[in-house]
Amino acid sequence: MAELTYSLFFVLALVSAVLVVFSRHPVHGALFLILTMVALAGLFILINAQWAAVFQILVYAGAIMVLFLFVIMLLNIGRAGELPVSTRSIRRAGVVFGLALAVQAAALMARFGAEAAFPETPPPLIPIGRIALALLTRYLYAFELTSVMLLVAVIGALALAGRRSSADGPPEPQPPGGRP
Amino acid sequence: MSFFYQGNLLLAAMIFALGAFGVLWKQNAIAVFLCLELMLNACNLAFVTLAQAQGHPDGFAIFIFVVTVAAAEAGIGLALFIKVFHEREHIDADRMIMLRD
Repeated sequence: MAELTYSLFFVLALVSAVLVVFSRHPVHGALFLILTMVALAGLFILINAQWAAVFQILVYAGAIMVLFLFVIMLLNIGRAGELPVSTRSIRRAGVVFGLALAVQAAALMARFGAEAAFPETPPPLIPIGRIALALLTRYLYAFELTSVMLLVAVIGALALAGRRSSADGPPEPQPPGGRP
Repeated sequence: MSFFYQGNLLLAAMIFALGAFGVLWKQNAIAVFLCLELMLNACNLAFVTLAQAQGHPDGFAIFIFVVTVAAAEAGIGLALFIKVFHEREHIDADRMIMLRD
């Protein structure tokens, strides 16, 4: 039964990840990305990492993806048009790079997975207290720096996207076309 | 049950490669960002799987850091996209070539 559920979530994650890359419209891509995250949360639960699954759904699918969808809605961007010729080489490089990375990573993971001794039964749930202890002892500096980084991100996002006030310097010259 | 771990690592590798491919392939900057999130998710999957297999909490700590960095990156990046869109009426990554010219 667990194997069947696992296969279901595995295929769901893979298919929706493919659809994220190959969907034409950004909204469809964002929705398929949410589906990928839900499938990954299912995989987390199946290896007894329920806490990570909750975190994935709440923070990733719930907060970050809503931000994405909100910006897509705000900008009202449609489907992509035809590419100029000069960027085709980048896309070709993308195909080669992606394929090479896939083969390399799969070979590495398969070899590592074959050699590492994974337990037959999932180890017991790691209590959240141990994670908190690791965060607040070994990773204390990283943890504190993360809070500073979030503050900088909030201020930066406000400074970038916020309405320009007349207080911060001379007003920008308007572009000739004018703004809608 | 142990094939869950190997399967997760394989899936992480495949999703990461897909995301890397999409970052180079996609034209719309928001779509590039979505593929970037795909890569971050693949990293998270590998971290959590290995942490759970070893019974060690460090992978979970790194999982939190990755999610935090993803949130900060999404906030800054999307604010930049709004700015660029207001200036230029598009957010095609292939047409943002001001630094190249």
